Amino acid sequence: MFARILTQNPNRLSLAQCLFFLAALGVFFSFTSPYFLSVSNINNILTASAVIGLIAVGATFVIASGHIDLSSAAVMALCGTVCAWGLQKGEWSPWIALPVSVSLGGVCGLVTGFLITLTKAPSFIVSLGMMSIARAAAYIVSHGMPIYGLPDNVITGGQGAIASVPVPVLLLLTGIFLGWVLLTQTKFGLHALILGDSVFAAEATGISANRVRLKVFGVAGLYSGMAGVLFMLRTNAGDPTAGQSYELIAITAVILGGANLFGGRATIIGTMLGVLCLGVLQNGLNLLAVSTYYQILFVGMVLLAAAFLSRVGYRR
Amino acid sequence: MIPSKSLLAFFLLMLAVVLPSTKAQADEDGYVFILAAHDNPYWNILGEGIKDAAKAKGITPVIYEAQNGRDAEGELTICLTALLRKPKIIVMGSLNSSVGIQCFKKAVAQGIMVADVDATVSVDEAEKAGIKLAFSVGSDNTHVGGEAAKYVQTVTVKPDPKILIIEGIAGSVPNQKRVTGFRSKIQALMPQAIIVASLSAEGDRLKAMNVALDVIQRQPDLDIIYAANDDMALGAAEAVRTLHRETRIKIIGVDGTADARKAILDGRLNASVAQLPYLMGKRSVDLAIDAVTNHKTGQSETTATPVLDKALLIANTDPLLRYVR
Repeated sequence: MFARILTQNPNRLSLAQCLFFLAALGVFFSFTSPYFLSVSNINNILTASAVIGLIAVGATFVIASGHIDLSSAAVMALCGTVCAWGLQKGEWSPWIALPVSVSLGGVCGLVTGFLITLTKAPSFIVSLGMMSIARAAAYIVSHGMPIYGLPDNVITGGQGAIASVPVPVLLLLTGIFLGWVLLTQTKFGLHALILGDSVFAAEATGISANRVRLKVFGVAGLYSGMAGVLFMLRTNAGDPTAGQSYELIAITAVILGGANLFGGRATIIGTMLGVLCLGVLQNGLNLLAVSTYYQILFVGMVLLAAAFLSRVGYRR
Repeated sequence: MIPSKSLLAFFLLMLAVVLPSTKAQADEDGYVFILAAHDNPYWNILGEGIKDAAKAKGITPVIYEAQNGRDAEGELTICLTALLRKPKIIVMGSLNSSVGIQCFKKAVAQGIMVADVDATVSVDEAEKAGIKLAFSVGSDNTHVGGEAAKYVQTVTVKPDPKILIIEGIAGSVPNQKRVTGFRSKIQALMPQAIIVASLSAEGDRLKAMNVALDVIQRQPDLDIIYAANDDMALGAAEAVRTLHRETRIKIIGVDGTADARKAILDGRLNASVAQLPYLMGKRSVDLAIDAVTNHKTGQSETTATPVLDKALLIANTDPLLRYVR
């Protein structure tokens, strides 16, 4: 009965598989490392997953709508660098620097969405262009060097904890909640999924594909902006090289969470489980002090296993 | 529904891969080393120095390596994970001083001694951040650039040589220091020297070759190429050889890698400023043991940066050469 419910609903099946995988990793590392199941380590895992998690929530919207955004990590670096520049060199108030930097991410996303609509070019190519532009802008703003040493009040706030929960984790939870509301409780989320399923079907039902696309990339950009600010708070620096290849990790997490790479199916909860799978894996291997060469091998094996399991599930 | 046999097989495979590579049980001595990049020969050699010295001293340190030399957040996460082991000392080769200080602050708050290898965080800088380093050992990249400039002065007869600088990865602090160190020293030593271009080849041999080819086309009377690492210097050497300018253009690299030393002996490269990461690794172990057993703090040690040229390599009498790997 339970199995039938799962196999009838691809979203539930993916979530169940991802959850099972996460639990299996948890059990494995609990037995192999005495440090794994401590509160401080769980905080470590969540804190370490926060930046990728925010990018992945944004990527969930993009993938749900049938697109790919390769610019998310570069936009993240740009937003973090601009924020650090504003706080340190521009002497901006944090109340200005933080929202301006997050909004800058949204603007980058809107530009990417607009260019995709305008040129009808694949999002892969357009976002690749935005990736270069955003990364170059980050280098130009920072003159190629990390902007280090932010005001104490900003860093204390960003690296602190509220009721023993680290601020980065709270930001991640807020981002997840907002993403979940947007994707499941609003027309915009539904339209994004329909667009990902079929552009023709979307337009036949009166959905403006262009407008939804623009919003999707705008939302993803805002999440990149939040990730950029969070990265800056965590490392106490605006780093123009920040997050190289984070966009691929985020896409991997979304797919691990059961999203269809070609659109139409994605869940925020699945994405977060995907992010946690990767976070737990990395943390567990670090706790065991596994050599980096083996870590890379191992992560590849796990991803292949996850892909294999998802195929087995659907065949049945 | 979930294929249990496949999963069981997978987890058995996982055990087979993970357990032999695990160093979790080997850290009773409480020495943790965190290195900035596993994909970089410089850090690999530094790691070799640590392992050899640890073996000689009879300790079994845990060595972590960040995935690559650009992932500051990743290195910070490794540091936080390493703290769970509650080691006696954490010796960190950090990507930048920001990451190093962040890590050190958290370690100190837990009563763990901290130290720097590669001189990314100096003792003074740490003190300003309220951290007492047990030691800092490394070479100064600004000084490395300066040494290259001094070498240029010795091999150039013209007072106004035309110089191409090939920079490494944009945003890399060591790269920036190597370039600014070279620039300021060359301006001080040879005020009439002309830097015709300062371009990034992102640490890549082929890109450096292309940069050199392009600039020599534009500036056929180029005299000097200074590259911020040996890979790029070797790429530039190929460009110079392709254009048959070996007798005119002198090339200087940084790091003193095995390839570069061979090229120097073959006459394709003029010199390389060596950084001796093996010695740094070795000294970091000596100083860490000293700090843990004798509670010494605040030691600052700068490793030598010999300029390797053909004469020095052929003579093979400099005692520092035994640390060149």
